[in-house]
Amino acid sequence: MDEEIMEDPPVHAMSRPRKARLPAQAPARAAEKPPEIQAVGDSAPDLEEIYQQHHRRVLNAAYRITGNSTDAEDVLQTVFLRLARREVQPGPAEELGPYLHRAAVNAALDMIRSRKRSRAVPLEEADAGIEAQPSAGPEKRSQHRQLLGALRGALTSLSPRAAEIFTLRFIEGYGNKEIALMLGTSQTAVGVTLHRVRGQLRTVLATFGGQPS
Amino acid sequence: MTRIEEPLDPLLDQALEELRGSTMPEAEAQAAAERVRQTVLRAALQEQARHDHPMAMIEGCEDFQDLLPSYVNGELVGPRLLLLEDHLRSCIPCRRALMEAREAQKKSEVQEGLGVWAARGDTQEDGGAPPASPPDSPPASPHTLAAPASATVGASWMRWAAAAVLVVGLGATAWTLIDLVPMSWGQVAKIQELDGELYQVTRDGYIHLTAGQKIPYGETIRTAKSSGAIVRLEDGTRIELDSRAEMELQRRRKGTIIELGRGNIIVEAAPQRDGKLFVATGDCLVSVTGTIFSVNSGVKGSRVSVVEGEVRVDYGAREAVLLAGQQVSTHPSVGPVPVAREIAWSRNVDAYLDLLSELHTLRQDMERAISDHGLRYSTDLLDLMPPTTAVYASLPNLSEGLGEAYDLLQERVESSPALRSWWQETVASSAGQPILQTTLERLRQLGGTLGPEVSLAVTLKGDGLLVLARAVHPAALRSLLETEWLPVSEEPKVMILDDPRQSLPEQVEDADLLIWIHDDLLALSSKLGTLQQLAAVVVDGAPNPFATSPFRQTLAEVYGDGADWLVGADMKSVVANSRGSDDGEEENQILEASGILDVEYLVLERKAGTGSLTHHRAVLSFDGPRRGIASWLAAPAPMASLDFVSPDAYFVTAVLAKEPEQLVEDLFGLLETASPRLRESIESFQQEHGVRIIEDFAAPLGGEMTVAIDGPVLPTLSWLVVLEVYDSARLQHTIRWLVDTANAQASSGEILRLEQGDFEGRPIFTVGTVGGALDFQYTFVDGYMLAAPTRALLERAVEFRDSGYTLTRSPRFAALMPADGHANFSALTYQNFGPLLGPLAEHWPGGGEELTAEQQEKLRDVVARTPATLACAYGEEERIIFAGNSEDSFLSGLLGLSGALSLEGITERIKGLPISIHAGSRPTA
Repeated sequence: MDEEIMEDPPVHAMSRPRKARLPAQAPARAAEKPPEIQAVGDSAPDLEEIYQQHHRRVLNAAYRITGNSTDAEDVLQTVFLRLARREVQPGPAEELGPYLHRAAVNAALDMIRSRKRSRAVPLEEADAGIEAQPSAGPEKRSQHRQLLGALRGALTSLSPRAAEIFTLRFIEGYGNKEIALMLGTSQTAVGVTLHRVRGQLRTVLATFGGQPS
Repeated sequence: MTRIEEPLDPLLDQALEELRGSTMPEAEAQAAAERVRQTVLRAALQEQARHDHPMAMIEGCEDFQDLLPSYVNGELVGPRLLLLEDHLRSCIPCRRALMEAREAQKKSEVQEGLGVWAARGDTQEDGGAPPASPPDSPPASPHTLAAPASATVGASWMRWAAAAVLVVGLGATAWTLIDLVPMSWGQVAKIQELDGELYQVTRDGYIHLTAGQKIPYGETIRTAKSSGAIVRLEDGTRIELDSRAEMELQRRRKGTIIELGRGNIIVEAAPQRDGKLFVATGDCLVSVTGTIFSVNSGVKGSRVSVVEGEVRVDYGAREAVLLAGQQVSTHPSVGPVPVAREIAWSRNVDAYLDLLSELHTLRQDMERAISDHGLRYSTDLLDLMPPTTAVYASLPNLSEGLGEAYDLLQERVESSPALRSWWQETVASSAGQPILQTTLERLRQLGGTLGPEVSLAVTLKGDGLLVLARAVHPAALRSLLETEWLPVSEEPKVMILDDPRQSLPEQVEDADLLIWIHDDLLALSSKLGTLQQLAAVVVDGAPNPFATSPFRQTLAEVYGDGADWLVGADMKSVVANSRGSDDGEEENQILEASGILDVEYLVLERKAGTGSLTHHRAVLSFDGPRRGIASWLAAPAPMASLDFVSPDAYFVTAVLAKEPEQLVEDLFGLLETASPRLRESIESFQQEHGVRIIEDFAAPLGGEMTVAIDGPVLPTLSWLVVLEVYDSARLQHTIRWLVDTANAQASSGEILRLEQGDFEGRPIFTVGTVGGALDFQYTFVDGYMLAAPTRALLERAVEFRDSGYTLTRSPRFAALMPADGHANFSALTYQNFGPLLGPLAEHWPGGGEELTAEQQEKLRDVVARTPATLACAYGEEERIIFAGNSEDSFLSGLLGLSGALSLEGITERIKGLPISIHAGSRPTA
């Protein structure tokens, strides 16, 4: 794979003069060491710029939702690969932030849903959020871990749209109006969904309510 | 919606707070960001390159298959993705190629995983699986591997551990993949005969093959023009190739696959010990266990024809089970040709044609012999039934037909060499054969002495059961009974009477069953009195009151139209008899008020229809105009609510009710009989809530209602309810009132919500419980209220209505409609669960793990044959008629004939029939 990737750019570089800025240093055979790709071409600088501007926001949102670095990195990659492959056309710059944020939320929710299906990483164990309170004792940390695991599990049990709305509202901190704008729906619909989701989550988390904290 | 802004429960709040506060460790975040940046920029470059040099047009399967690797990697996007996915839906070779590409991907992922794990083992403590990143993502860049000093100590043993886990994991993966991996080691096929030229197609060109040469599995062979060849597999299967035919053999755990690239082949499949034999063409998959069939794969499509046995063909989203002489094409442009013509090129054409025609005639003759007992247009048995007859049944004498069919089979097998070898191979060796023979023999002995009809009366008032038949050979019947059947019958005790009038009750008290043969009349009863009564009529010519009764008249009318299987019940007598004197006055009043007591007769009929259809008919007649509950069914009229149902619906029931207001009024009246104060309580309820039940609920409705399951059943059942509504504003007002009232009365605050949205310019309403468990949406379209769990279903229903492509206009539904004088229905119920049950069989509760592959196969087989049925009702002034057709012929079903003359099947079924002396006249019951 690497070989193909390495070989491609020089070919284009030769055939298309305007690509001259392509990395001439990219070796034809460099399986061990990936090349440093520089920003090139017409779209790449834009992308580079966009990436620098927004990647932290995407990564952080993904981390909050998935609770582990590996998944957060995958989410980041998924979101920006879509841009790179022109599967989505970014709108005006002022809309791009919320768009990417929302894309991150959805990709992260997809990620925890697929994790739940495959059971590859139990949600409870995958969680790293507990490190936020390193001072807490082991028992307490275990409870936090379970609680966050339960919350993420509960998110996966919601409909994708409901999970998205809920996450945007209560984890990512958007207002109902903003969410309605982002999703192209009415504030009432957002309100209703949140109202309903709250009931569902309360039920799921109720199992924790009985435990002494 | 201020409530939303209220704080959530403390526990939830706490969890959310923690989630919000969690941040990725800075070092990890930076490393991850850099890795992704590299990947993303590289992808952007590739995309730019693709954009500058767009790929050539997609022209065929090869081009599609070229796209598979990027599809599997998740890199394919845009129109190409759509094109490929669409193509994959209909192309079996490409689906297979996809499967292989996925396996390859899986393997490479496992291998990559080895590297990644070994690399990550040092740094990752969460034990996460390798990320699902595309393979073009670079290996972790050096600084990710900069392990903390404390971790390096364990690095070496962790690598070993990872390796060990991988070995185990690979083993498990291999086991699950084994099903898909070709198992061609050591498998060879041999060229048995060759006429002309046969090539093995390789990368570099053609290799000439000669007769007697072996062909390894996995190689493509092709016949040249004007050539032909026969390839013999190790299991004895013969594949005959016509000119310009190309195929490849593959052996998998599921069985042998003949990949037919193109051309015409005839397969004589040897019985498959384990698994099946498949023929895969570009557009269909044929599966068999042992039979003779031809597959012709051309440019326009494929055509599968069956010479002998049973073949299953999956093509597109459809599937067909073909029997000898039948054919199916995968594309309408490939029209049907006679099977004989399709196989005319074969060097074995004579043998195939013989077998084909023999089997075809045999099957037809056997079907005819069994079902061709003809309708009975008159009977003299009816007039001999006892006066107290409450239920009358008349059945055809089927034993003769069965025997005849078997004779026919034997005769043909004897006289036809083509059939003889088939018989020897497939039937004579089966264990059930001797049982079948003796059973049929006994049946036909008895049946052969009887006339075409066996009639039965169930009487009231202790007269017992009376079975009557005409004997065509009374002497033979008698001797048969006395010599063959009676001596072997211990239970029940049977006694043959010479003259019931001479017998005394004491003489027969030990007998369970009394038989009286008088001239050609055979009568069986458990009661002496019943036989005495009969004797008085038959011998002495005493008048029989039943012969002049209206019940007899009703039954005689059925004979006017031809009777096959007939059951009639005198409901008045049955009801009167079942109601004891101690039944409460109140109960009688309710029954009286309901109008149910007006039912006079119920007559059920079943007749063989055209083709494989069986007609069913039931008539419920009343002694006057229908009233009460019985009158709720309206007279037949057009039902536009059915226009919202798609042709693919699994289940539909539609009904036309009389005036809904009248209906509610009747219901109140009925309940009032039971509880006289009901009217008052209703009145006070209405006063209290300011609602008029009849005016607000029933009056807006038109009386027409359709309920359907129209779409996927999982994860949410796709139900659809269509109600005729004359006053939608009022009904909407009522619904809102209901929701408000429910919420006002609920102690826990709002429990129901009702919201309005926009549905293509119409208002659409969402009703839901606050928990979200029972949400549904409804809208009003052209005088109908449509309700469904999702908006998409409503849109779909309206689209179908607008397109005119609806259930009632689909050929399948039309074929099931009963032929009679009515143009409309009062009610109907249609089910076509076959297509639904198919996938369900694969997703059996428990994830399919509780069923073995064999069980799943059987289940699929059974459900694939679940025939569609349609039952409808006509409300007439003084009667209600139910009529319906089912797709499977009852007799064929009973005898397993639909399963291609499967004699084992017949035996199994016959073994289940109650055959003993007293049941001699009801082998068909």
